[in-house]
Amino acid sequence: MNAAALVLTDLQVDFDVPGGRVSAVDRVTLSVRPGEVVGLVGESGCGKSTLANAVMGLLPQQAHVSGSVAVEGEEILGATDHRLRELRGNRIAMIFQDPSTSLDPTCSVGSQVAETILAHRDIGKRQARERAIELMSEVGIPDARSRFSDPPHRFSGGMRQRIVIAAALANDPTVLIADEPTTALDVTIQAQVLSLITRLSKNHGTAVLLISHDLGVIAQVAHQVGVMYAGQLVEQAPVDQLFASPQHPYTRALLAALPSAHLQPGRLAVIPGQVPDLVGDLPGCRFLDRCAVSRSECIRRPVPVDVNSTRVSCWDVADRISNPTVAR
Amino acid sequence: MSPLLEIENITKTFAVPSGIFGRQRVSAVDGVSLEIEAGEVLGLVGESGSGKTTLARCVLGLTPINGGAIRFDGVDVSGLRRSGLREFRRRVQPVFQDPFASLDPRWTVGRSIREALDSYRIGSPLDRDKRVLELLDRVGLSDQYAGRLPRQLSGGQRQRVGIAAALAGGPELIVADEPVSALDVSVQAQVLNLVADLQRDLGVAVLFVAHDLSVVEHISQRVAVMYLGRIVEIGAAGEVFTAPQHPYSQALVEAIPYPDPARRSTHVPLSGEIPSPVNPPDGCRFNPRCPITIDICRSLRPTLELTSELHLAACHVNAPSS
Amino acid sequence: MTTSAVKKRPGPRLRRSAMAGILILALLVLLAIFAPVFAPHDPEAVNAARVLGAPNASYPFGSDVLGRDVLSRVLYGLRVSLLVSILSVLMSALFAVPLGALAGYFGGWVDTVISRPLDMLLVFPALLLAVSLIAIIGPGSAVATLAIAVIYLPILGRVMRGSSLSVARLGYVEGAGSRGSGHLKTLVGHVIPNSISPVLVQGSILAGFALQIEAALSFLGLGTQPPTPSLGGMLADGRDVLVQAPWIEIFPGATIALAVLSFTLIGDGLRAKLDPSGVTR
Repeated sequence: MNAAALVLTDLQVDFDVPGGRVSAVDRVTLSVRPGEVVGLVGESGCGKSTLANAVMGLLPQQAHVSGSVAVEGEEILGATDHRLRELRGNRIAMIFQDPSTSLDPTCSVGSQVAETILAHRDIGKRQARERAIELMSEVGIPDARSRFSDPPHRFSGGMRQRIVIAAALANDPTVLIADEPTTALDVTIQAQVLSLITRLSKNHGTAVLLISHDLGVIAQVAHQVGVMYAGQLVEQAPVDQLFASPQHPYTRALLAALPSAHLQPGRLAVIPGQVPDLVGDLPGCRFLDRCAVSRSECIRRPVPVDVNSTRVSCWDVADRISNPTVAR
Repeated sequence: MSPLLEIENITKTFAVPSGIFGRQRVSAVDGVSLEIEAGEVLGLVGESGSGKTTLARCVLGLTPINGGAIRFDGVDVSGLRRSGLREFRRRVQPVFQDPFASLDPRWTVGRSIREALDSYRIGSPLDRDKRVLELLDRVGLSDQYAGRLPRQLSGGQRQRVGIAAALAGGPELIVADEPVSALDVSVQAQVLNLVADLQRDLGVAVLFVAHDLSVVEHISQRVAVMYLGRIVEIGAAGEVFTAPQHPYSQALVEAIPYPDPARRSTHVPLSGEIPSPVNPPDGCRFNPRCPITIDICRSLRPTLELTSELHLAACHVNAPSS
Repeated sequence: MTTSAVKKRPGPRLRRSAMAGILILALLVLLAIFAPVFAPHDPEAVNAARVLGAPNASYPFGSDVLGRDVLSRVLYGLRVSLLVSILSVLMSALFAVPLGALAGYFGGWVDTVISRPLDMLLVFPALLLAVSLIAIIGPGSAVATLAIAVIYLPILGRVMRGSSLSVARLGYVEGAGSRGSGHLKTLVGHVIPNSISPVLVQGSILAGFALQIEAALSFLGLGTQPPTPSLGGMLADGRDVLVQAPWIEIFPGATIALAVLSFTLIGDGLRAKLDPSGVTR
């Protein structure tokens, strides 16, 4: 078994806001192996983007971070700015949701890809340019050589996202974080870009952390899935298992709420209530107020248990495992 | 019985400045015909540049059409003036995509819902306040929301208020442009259930525009697929989803990432970019990307032909005109 | 893209600097309104014995070239300055707001018909325009007020137009027609209230500039006419005796600066609260 390329251990990110302290990421433990795609799924406010920023060392100064984020064994949290700059775009890369803001509208696309190369490799400008053109072709930009000098606005959204991917993968990073990379794209273009990401990561052996609110995207592309709710990682499982036998009440509710889950029209299952305000005192399990099977223990933080290869944080599940004879 | 809404061969072109002195014509909607029966939910699906939003705006009267006709309850909308137009506006109401932009941030929820009641002078002022509470209840919000401001509500709640405001005037047709696209899955479910309930309880028809086929399929009786300003396929929702006839619809359905890893798509994704509506291809506008294109596709525009009962597609190969 | 439960969190309160600005302005306004009460002497009373008199107990700001009490003249001059600056901006906004709203809301030919003439006005440097108007109509603080209002019309108009342009595209404005509101109702009920904040910000800052323009005009003898005291006029009077009697320049000058500062602080504070994205410049 190859050692994990990215390991998060008990990652905790808190912010101070006017009302108090917001616990945006609550002790998340997760790892991604080389060549593996780990999907991180959750709705808005679940902390997935904060987590991504923590891995990139992009959190604001005021964030209180604890725990560990290790890339190939090297600790990211607390690393010097200098070291972070060396790592970003080089060993760790990130692609964001909106391709129109990820690219500088005043520079040519080719130069932006070349820039990433030049920042981390000691090669000449001409060589970097050639490499950039190569990368642009690899991601499917037709006529890459002549389009090198075109500015971003001459490209469609899908094309721009491909360029962003080219720049991200330019230096063959160990870890790629893709934060909602296809959310802003049309469905048919999304399919193209997702297929591109999976192909490239397979060929280069990149460890990919794919963040999405779209369970469909996750199902199609991920090997392992982590489900986040209000800052907590509630369930983690191989993709087949997560969809076939979801353990956590939130995961189940989420899957039941999908329109495509139903082949005939009917009421979609609804999760009562809404995502809790993350400021102030929260119960140990943050899904407590909306959970159909909540119990008194749930005010304490659940200890993760394993059900086959699923790791789930839920007292109800834990109870079921230790008392298998109790009828449900 | 004549359909509630009849769209006959409408076209809409925009003039877009190009270069220093030039203007380019953008063909946003190119010869679209459609009918919606009373109480029916018609889903309209398409990607960027499909013209679906422009079509919705034309139906609402927000964008004037360049050709063709729109008939509501048998009456040509373009001929309406003043009171006729006002009546039309009352009976065809919009629900917008962006929950953060659909309500006036300075108006309380109650006032926003009451806007139509006040303007159309429905009932006495006392009746109106009661009606606001009724409407809030119908969309699943308690009385206390009437006095709140939009910024105190979540996206899903705002969207529900938007629906309540649309219902206030007692419309017969609601034109919803991507009403759930900006919402989380669990919240989306609430709103979709609501729309289904409204259709069932009030018999209101809905033109539901979306880019997400699975959402549309769940809630609509019929679905129309648009590509670059034209309708390429229209039929019963379940059928279009499970047995799409047009190559574009097929690609669209295949492209949807299905939330089941056991059903991973092995299909090669549709190639090419969505062309700009500025210079659409001749003949069938889908031909440059189409896997089954033949010669005639490049020169002659296909017409919508029956492929099975109530299911039409515009494709020379799959639905040739005899 | 996706939403979450939004909890009410209080927006940023006005910064301390803005609060300071409000306090200073309030103080100045009070002094100006109650000038007859606060002024120890008649501002126009000539006193040969006190010519170029230094500040002392009964003449805290000293006296000027004609022996008149500088403090009293500053207070009365402040009246004019504040009146002109505030009134001119209000007058300007009275026309700029509806014109800008109409231009932004309707667009098309309405926008052209409104914006082109306004743009042409923008071409002229403020002071030049004011002087030209005064040359035609004649000097005085009323004319100065009018001139400044005219100068600011295109500025506030553009700000309002830009703001209403984006508001007019929002769902609730487009939907207002479907909800039965006619154009007027929509403009008054939806567009103007939601697009006016940049005008408030800009207006506050412009009021500060207006004060300076009035002072400049009075300095040139084109604004408030003597013997009515004016801060600018006092600056003109004190020029020749700057070395012997600097208090004649210092106190009016400091008052002008203080007033302008307060307007600017308020404007910046309003901007921070109402328009953090920086739509106005």
